[in-house]
Amino acid sequence: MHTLEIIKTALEQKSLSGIVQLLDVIRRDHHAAGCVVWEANPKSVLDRVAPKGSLFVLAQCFEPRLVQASWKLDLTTPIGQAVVQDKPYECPDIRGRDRRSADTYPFSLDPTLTGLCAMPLTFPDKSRGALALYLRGPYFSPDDVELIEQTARFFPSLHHVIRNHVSLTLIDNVTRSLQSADAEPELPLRPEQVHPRMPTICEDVAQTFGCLEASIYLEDSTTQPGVYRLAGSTLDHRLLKPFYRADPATGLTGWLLHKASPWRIFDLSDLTKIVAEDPEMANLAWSDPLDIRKFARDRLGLDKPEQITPPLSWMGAPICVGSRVLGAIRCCVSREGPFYFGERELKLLGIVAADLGQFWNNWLTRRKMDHENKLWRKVVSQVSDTNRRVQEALDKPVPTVSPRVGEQVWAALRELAADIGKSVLLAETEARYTEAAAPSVNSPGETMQRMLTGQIDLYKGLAETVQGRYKAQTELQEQNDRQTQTYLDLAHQLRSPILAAYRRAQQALERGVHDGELRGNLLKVRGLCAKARTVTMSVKLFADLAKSQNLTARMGRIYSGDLRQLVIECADDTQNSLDTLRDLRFDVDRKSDTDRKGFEALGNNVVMGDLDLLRQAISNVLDNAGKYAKAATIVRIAAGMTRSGLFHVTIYNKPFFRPKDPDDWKVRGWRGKEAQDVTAEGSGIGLFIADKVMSAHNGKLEIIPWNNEEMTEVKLLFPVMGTER
Amino acid sequence: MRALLVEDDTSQYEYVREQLSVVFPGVDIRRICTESEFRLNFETFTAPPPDIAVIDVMLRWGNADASFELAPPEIRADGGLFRAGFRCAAMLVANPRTRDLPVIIYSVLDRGDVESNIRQLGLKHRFVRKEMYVTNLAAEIKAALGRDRGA
Repeated sequence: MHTLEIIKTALEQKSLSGIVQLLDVIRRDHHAAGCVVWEANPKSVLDRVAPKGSLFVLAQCFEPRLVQASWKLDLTTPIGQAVVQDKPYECPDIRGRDRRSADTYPFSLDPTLTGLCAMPLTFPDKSRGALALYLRGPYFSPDDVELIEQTARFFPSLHHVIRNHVSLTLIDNVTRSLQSADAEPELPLRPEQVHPRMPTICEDVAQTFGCLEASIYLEDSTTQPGVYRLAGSTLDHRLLKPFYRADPATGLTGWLLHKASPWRIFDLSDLTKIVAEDPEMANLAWSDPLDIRKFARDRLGLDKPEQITPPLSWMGAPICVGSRVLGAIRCCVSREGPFYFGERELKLLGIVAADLGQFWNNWLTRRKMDHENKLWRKVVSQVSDTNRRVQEALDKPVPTVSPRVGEQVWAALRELAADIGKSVLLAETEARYTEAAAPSVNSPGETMQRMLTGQIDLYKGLAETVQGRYKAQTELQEQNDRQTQTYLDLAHQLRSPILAAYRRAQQALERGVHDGELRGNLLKVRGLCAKARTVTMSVKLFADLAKSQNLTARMGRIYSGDLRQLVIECADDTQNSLDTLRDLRFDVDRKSDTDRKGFEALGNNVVMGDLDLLRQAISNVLDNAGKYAKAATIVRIAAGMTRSGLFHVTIYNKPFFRPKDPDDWKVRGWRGKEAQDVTAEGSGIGLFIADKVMSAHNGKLEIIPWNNEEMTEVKLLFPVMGTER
Repeated sequence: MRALLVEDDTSQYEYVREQLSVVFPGVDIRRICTESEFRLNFETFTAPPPDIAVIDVMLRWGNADASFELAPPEIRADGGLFRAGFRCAAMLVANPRTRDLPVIIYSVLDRGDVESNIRQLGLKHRFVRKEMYVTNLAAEIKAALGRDRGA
């Protein structure tokens, strides 16, 4: 008896199909023609008097390989009875028995088989089964039978060792693969540049589970939300669906994405029956282009019609972060035993999916930050452009402006140019990702001792790699904080020179500029400065909000005249900073026509507010209208009291598109596809900030689309305080 | 000289046009604002081809007007507005009529951000970073025209 050889074989296995190697060693050890492990179907009732259910082949090994056991045996058969009664079954000579009472299939395939000996098994998870040896020629001696019984006693533990070893190796491989991608200093900008990792992970998973297919589908929420595209597979991509939605009508994987919890199916051949019996699976439609049964027979080499197809086992796990489903990983059809994915395998796949979810979520976050950085750089470029235009305007001979005024504007803008230069350098400072330490794992050696050492190292390595993942998470958070700090620095440095430039341009206008072209240029400069100021302030507030959830307003009394002046300035500045091709007009209702309308409706009351923040909120709303209102339309701004006693400033415009839920506009970072298509500016924070500003005033921002009309109202609502002037 | 200037920012366009008119008197500049406009009018502005093309990288897909249509999914999947200029340049490189047309990528991005994309296009030394003045752009245009005409 070569117990040591059997144990060594178990410890050497790197995939679940290692169980077949183990059966081969047992078969050879007992000079048998075949060795089969049966397991009772989980739904079976192993009642000694009235058993219900069946056995399925967990794994088998025959010589020659063409021979195979029946995939399913009723519990009333002798082997089934061996399991139910928990006692051996021996059939020394099949020729003397009623073949119908035994597993006749291998005997019909190989007439030289003469008998079998089956020993009951109890697996560590309490499930039951049998180890059966098939032989040719004379039956085993009593000593042989005793040895088979001994082997059957420790076989379940060896199977458990293989599953443990394989599980840890898979988690370790996947974690390392993702960790090395996380540690790359250069950020790939496109999903397909990340995907080369995914086929490697699919290979690892397929190798571990011994399955023909392992595929990963991922959602790129920034480009195609709701579409889960094929990111990697062990199969030719032409055989697979290129994408799914979280919808049972798109197939079994679509159903899995919809259900958002791991699932396994014993045999896909029974899918129609399973769907009919399970109300949860209603509406599921198998829409994959692959004929799974034909595919499995081809790949498993079952070319003779008399060869039975094994169960086409399937399992899948959603790739999630929190309650958000980012994708799915699935496995299908075992190449060789075990032919059934158990609960333990499903849990292991769930762990791999969790690791993938964390990785994919981090990658999307990093890419979003990279996009944001690029947009800010564009903003800085536009501010530079403002400065350059002012210089151009002032270079021209100006008889109506005193040399002193020109000089002052010029000096302020020189300063602006210098500060912008510094800010650009700041924005370009990029944080590098440090590579996390990669622990090494010894491969199993040839001796038992070395193999056990390898096993211990594997545990240690796993602990270290998990720790490494946490470290990568922390580094990502630190990078987020650094980016926030960079935005604050950028905003701080830009703000004062931009304000100075704005004031200088305003001063020049107030002193009376009669030259039409110069006046036009100065107005344009003032508008562009105002835009730069709005963007800069948005950067600052965005950074403030990244640090805490709310803004703090420095409240002061604001009278109707102040508010009117503020709105008029904001409207004029937005008008003057617009691309002339847009052909938009901003029109303020400057006078009231009824008691409740117009700025005068505020009367002697005041709005308590922070003028800087309110300027920001109004400018952001107007800037949005400037970007997204239909070309050649009018943006109208009105004010007045509401019936509920709030003061409102309302912007009426005709956006060229509207989201299904108007409040989407207020979500941080939300940009409709349409918005991205018509302007490179904008990072989806304008109305998010306006909303936060209004909350800081105990007011609110309301977006009201008019039914059946193109008009949309954006309402800024303030509480009013009574006071004597 | 006939130049194609693909630029969606009007203030940038106006400045570049003014300055290039000084450096290259009589220059005829055709402006394209958006990627969809580039695609729709490709046959028009390449028959005959201009002498040089100057292309911004970050371009919007279309205008917010009645003719607006969403960008196709493949455009979004290919980086959307962040890679619009490269797609336009690739169309020029792929067309036999404009294959040899000198193309200058003119962007606020750094050379390091765009280098691999330019290499893929097969364009050599044709990147100019947007600065306060157009001196570098004008010099690069001169060099490109001189080099290509001399070749």
